[in-house]
Amino acid sequence: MTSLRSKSQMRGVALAVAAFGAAFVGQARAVDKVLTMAVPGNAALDNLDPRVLLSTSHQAVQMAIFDSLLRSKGTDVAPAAAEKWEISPDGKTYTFHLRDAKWSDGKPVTGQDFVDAFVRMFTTSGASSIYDAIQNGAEVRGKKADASTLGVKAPDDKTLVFTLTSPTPYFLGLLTSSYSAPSRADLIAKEGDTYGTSAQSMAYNGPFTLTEWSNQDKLVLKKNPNYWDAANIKLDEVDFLVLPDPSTQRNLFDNGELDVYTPQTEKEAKGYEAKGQLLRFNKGGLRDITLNHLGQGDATKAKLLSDPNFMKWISYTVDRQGFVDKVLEGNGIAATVQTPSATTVYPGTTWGQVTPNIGKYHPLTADLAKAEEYKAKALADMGVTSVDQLPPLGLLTSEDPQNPKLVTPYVFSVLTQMGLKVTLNQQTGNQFWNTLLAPALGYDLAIAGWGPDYDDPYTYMQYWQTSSTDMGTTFNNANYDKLLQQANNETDLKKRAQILAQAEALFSDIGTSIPLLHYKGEAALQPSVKNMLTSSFGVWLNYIWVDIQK
Amino acid sequence: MLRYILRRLAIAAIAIFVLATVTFFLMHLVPGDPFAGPRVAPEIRAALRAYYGLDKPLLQQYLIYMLNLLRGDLGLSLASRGHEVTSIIATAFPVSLDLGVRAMIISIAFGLAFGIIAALNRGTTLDYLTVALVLIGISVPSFVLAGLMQYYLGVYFRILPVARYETFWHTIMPAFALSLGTMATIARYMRSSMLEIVNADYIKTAFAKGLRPHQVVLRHQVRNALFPVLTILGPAVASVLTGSFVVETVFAIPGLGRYFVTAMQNLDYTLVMGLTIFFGAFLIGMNFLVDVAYGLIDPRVRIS
Repeated sequence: MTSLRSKSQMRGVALAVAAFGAAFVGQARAVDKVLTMAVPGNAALDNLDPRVLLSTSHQAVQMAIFDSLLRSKGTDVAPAAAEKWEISPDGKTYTFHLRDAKWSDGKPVTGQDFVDAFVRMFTTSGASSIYDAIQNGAEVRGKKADASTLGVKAPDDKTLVFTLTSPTPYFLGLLTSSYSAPSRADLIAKEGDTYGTSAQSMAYNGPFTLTEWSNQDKLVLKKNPNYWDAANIKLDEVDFLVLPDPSTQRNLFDNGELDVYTPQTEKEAKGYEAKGQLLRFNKGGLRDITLNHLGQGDATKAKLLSDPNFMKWISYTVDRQGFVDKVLEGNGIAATVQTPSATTVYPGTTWGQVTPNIGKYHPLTADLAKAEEYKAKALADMGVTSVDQLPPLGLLTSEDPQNPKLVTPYVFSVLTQMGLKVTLNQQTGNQFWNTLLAPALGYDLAIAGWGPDYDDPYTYMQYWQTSSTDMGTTFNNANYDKLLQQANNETDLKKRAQILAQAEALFSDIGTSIPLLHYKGEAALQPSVKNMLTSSFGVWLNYIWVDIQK
Repeated sequence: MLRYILRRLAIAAIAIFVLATVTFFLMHLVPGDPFAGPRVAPEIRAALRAYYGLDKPLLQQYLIYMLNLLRGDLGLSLASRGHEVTSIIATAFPVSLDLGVRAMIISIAFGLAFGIIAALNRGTTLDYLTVALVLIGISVPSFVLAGLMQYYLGVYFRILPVARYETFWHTIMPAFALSLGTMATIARYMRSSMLEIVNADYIKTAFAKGLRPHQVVLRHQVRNALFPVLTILGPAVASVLTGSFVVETVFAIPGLGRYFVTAMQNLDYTLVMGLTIFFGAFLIGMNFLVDVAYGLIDPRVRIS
């Protein structure tokens, strides 16, 4: 009895010593590297299944917890779940060789997981049309073809083959999005509607795993030690906080409780720049005035809004450069075509080096003499003698995070200076989309725009095709459609660029969009945050390889 | 008393039924589609509408909703995909409730104190000071106050945490910001109702009996003055306890208040319905409690 007690006492002492030792070692070890950020978009994410919701805010988390086939690394496309790949000479077959990888629950990642992901994307996800180059993709979405006919096949566990209907030079870029992350059919079947709504409902194969998620409050991502590239992942933990108010984010950032903050105004950005905390980058994206060629069913309005002379009258009255310099204080790039100049059109060449259309159809600064010419033509086209005889028009606008607060008053002032009768229609949340998009198309003029899905001019051009109704586009032109089709089938990338430039010229001349500006990106970072990469499409801030050095 | 309670319950049920019906049809009068958005293919939007039953005739949707409601099923949120309305409320409400209770304690304690002090010192500097404070409390919007407090107490002087809802210290600023409006209202009501009865016969009688001034004030004046204050307390408690959009947004508190605004912006039909019914039931419940409290304070109510 006595010996037993002394034994247990001994063990107690040993445990205490061990615990003390462990605590000591723990203290000596480097502090965990934690990056704390606000959930992008300033709202909770609700569902992280890439096949349910895929905004850039969702992708910002999805890119860390799922490993897509490829990954964008700065301006490069880097291998991720796929180790290497081959493209057939006709550019229509892509064969990917997958790495040995495991899901966070121990199951191996297989080619079939990727096939399941693409089938699910075409059947459940709204935005799947950007992948319509995949054979039978659109047909599967429209339930006109069986899922088994989709041009994504896994001949074995380690191979994945895509069959495309046309050579698609930007296809690798498309595969960097979370859409190309594998999916778990078994978990989806088990969880049903709640798959993707909690940390436990999903399995992960990315550089991080989601360990804690209280939807409206916080997400905690921990480093995945089994990730194939774990040696190059420096962060131990990434915390995403739900912080709906940008001023709260700024206050937390200034207090050192947040590592990244997106300044709300150029003045704020300059303040952080002076402290050496600002990162500026090329963000892509377009803000424009969209015209409704259908005029909401009103024949007079339709005639006016689809008159290229009317479109150019507005365009030549707009002082893009002046607006960007004076109002935005340089936080933007005046745009005279829709595709930003920095967009890659083929390796080593940007759109700005290829397109002859910059400044040709829309001027950089206001040209009031030309505007008068177009005004006279537009009035003549309408058979009227004065601006007062034109129908009153509505200007639809939203509370978009891309800050049209400054754009809307400027555009409104331009339109009223022209003598047009314009009423402002500002809408919030989903109501804006409900009014802008088909079937409503409830606008005459709208402050709209586009964010790129991949680094190629095609992302800025595809939605004007007759078949597309995205962004409430009412441009229906067979020649334009033909040019895009031609570009899609062209394997010579230089020729393709020329065709795209022709399409751009056609659209700029008679289309539905008056380009205003392209975005510049900026983010304030704490000095300890190193190696934050940026991208001109998708998720702008790539924190995967970030290191914290205090 | 039991018959009284049963009658009140029946009226409450009818009120909630009418509320649900009116909200349902009004909400569907708002044009638009909850699944609208850029890059949403028409086929997918149609599939989603069918999945959530929005393609059925409105009357049929209404019947399905009401039958589900009877079973306590509020359905799946349309915007928070995959989340049930009941679980959204069950997760967010306790946070708002916690904050609301703290705010109510501050409002009632300080509101009553200010009201009594002002009334007892009528016409003096103290009275005017309190009235001025009350005026500020009513007229300064909570987002201004919340923003100022956050900056000065959180960032400039670093006395309290800037935002989020974690420790006791985190709760102070949001609770105070949330309480100010109600506190001011309570103070104003308390002051005027104290003054109204200062010349009442029973106060004179109490003095005539030879009671000391503080005994008169506490036993007779304050107790009787509480009545009108109690009336406004029901709705005030309901609105404070179910959360505030502004305070929850500024302080990043995962409560229910945010949803009241975002649900309608997103045309999240099921969530709008769920929140309306929940808030309606809560409001009715609070008013009922106020009625019971009347009985406790005023013996006349108990007898009748």
